[in-house]
Amino acid sequence: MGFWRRLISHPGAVVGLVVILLYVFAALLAPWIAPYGPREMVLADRLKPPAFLEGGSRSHLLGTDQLGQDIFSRILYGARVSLLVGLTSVSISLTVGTVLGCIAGYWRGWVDRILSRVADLLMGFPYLLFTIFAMAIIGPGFGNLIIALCFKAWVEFFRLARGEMLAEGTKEYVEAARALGRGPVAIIAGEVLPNIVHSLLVLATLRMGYMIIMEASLSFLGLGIPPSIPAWGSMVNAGRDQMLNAWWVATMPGLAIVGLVLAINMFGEGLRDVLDPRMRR
Amino acid sequence: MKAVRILERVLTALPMSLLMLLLVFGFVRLLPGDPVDIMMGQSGNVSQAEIDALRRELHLDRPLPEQLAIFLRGLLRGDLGTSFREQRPVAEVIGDAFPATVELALAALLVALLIGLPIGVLSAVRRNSWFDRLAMGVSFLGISMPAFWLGIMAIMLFSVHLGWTPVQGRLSAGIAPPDLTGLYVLDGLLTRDWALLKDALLHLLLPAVTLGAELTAIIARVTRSSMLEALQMDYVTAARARGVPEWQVVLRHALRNALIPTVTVAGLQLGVLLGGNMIVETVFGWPGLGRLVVGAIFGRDYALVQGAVMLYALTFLIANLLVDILYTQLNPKLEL
Repeated sequence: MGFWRRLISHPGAVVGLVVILLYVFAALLAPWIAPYGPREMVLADRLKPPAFLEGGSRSHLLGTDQLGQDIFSRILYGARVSLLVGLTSVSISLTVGTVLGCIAGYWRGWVDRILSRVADLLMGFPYLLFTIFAMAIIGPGFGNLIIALCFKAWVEFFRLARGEMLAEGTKEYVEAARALGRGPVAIIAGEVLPNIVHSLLVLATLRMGYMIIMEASLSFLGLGIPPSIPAWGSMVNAGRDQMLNAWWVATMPGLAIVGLVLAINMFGEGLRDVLDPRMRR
Repeated sequence: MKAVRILERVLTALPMSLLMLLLVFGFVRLLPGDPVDIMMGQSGNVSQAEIDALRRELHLDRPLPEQLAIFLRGLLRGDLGTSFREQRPVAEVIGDAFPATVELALAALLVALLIGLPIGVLSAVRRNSWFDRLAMGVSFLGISMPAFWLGIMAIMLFSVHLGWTPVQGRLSAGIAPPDLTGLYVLDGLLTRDWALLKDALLHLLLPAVTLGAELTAIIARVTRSSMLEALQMDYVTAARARGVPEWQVVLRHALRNALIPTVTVAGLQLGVLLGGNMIVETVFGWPGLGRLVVGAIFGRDYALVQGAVMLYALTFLIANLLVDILYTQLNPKLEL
C-alpha cells in the first residue's frame, strides 16, 4: 500500500491532520473570520462570559477579557504565532541538526568528536532555562525567540541523523557509491538521506508540539512574543488575574493550545506508525 | 570491577562539568547591560567614585581571564560570590531556595511513579481493553498540555472554587518550619509536627501533580510498551508453564525487566523536573530556584545566575550518572 493510502487509513493521523488544517485555515483566514480585530477593545464589554453561559451573547462567542477584547478573535490571531513559531523553529532545527549530523556521521574523526561534545554539553542544560538565557542575551522579539528556541533543539536531530548516518555509512550501497567515485555530498544527499528522512520527519512532527508549548510557556512568563501581538501564552497569563471572576479568560486560549498540540502529536504518532514500522509497538 | 567502572564514569563526568562551568561563565558575561548600572539605577543618584568602588568590589574592573580565575578560586573554597540584588552570599541564597525545588521535584517524581507505573502495567496486561484505551488517551492529553495552563486550571478548580488547597506558597502564615532539611514534608515527619506536615502537604499537592503530570503520562506509556514486550518473552512463557500465578508472572518476571526503560526515563526526567520548574514555581508562587534564577537573569545578577545555573547543570549531570548506574544494577548484562 502506498504512503497516502496507509496514512488515510490511520484514524489518529487523519483526525490529527484535519484538526491541524482547521487551525491553519483559522490562522490564514483570521482577518476574515474573526468578528473583531486582535486588539479591538470595547471597555463597555469587559469580562463578558462566553455565549453558552448566562449573560453571554452571540457577539462574543468565547467571551471577552479584562480589556473588553474578544477572546475568540484573539485566539484565531494567536494561532498565527503558534503555528509560525512551531513550523520555523522545527524547520531550522531539523535542517541544522541533519546537516551537522550527516557531516559528523559521514566523516567521523575530529569533526564528529567536536560536534558530539558540543551536543553533549548543550544537553546538560535544561531546555527552558537555556532558552530563557538565550532570550536574555539576544534580546526580545519574534525572530530572536525562534533563534533562542533553535539554540538547543537542533541537538536531537543531530543525534538522530548522526546515528543513522553511522549505521548507513557501512552498508553496501554506500560502499558501492563510493567505489563508483561519487562525492560525499552526492552520497549523503542522494543515497543516504532518502533512507533516513522518514525518522527525521517523524521526530520533527513530534517536536513541533513541544516547540509550540515552549513558545507559549515563554510568552506566559512574559519573555516570548511582544505583548502587542496576541499569543496564547500571554493570553493565559492575562487571565490569571481574573481567576476569581472570569475563568474563561485563562481557560479558552489554553484549550486552543491543547487542541493544536494534541492534533500534532496524534498526527506525528500516526506518521510514525506509517513511515517507521520499526518503532511501532 | 563494577566499582571501578562507576568510578571511571564519574571521572569522565568531571571534564564535562568543567566545560559547562566555563560555558556558563561566558554566557553570563554575554548578557547585555551592565550589572553595576542596573544596581545603581535602583538606588538613585550615586557618584562616579561609588560606581568605581562597586566595580572593584565585584572584580568587574579586571580582565575576563582574571575574573574567571577569581571565580574558580572562590569555587574551590565553596565561595560562589555575593548576589548583587540580595546582598548576601550566593551560596546562602541558593541554599534557601534549593530545598524548595528539590522537594517539589521529588514529589512530582513520586506522583508520576505512583500513578504512571500501575497504569502502564495494567494497560499492558489488559491490552486494548476500555481501561487501556482510556488510560492511553488521557496520557496523550498529558503530554500535550502546557504545565502553566494545567496549574492555573488546578488552582481555579481546587483552590478558588472548592477551597480545598491553598493558592500559593509552601506554608500558611503562622506556621514556622524547623531548621532541619528544608524539605518541609520531611521536617514535619521528623519532628512529628502533624500541623506542619498537613500544611506542607496541602501546599505541595497541586504543584507536584502539575509538575508531574507530563512525566506521569510518559511513564505510563513507556511502562506499557516495555511491559507488552516483556510479556511476550520466553522466560515469561516459561514461568507461566511452570504454573507460577499470573500476578507473580506480571510483577516478578515481566515488570522487573520492563522497569529498565522506565527507570531511565524517570531518572533523565528528574533533571528536567529540577530544571524545568520555572513555570510551575511561577504559577504556584513556589519560592524555589527556578523563580529565583529567572529573576536573576533579568536583574543581571551575575554571581547568582552563575551559581544557580551551575547547580542546575550539575544536578542534570548527576541525574544522568545515577541513571547509568541504576541501569547496570537492573540489567547486570550491561556494562557502563
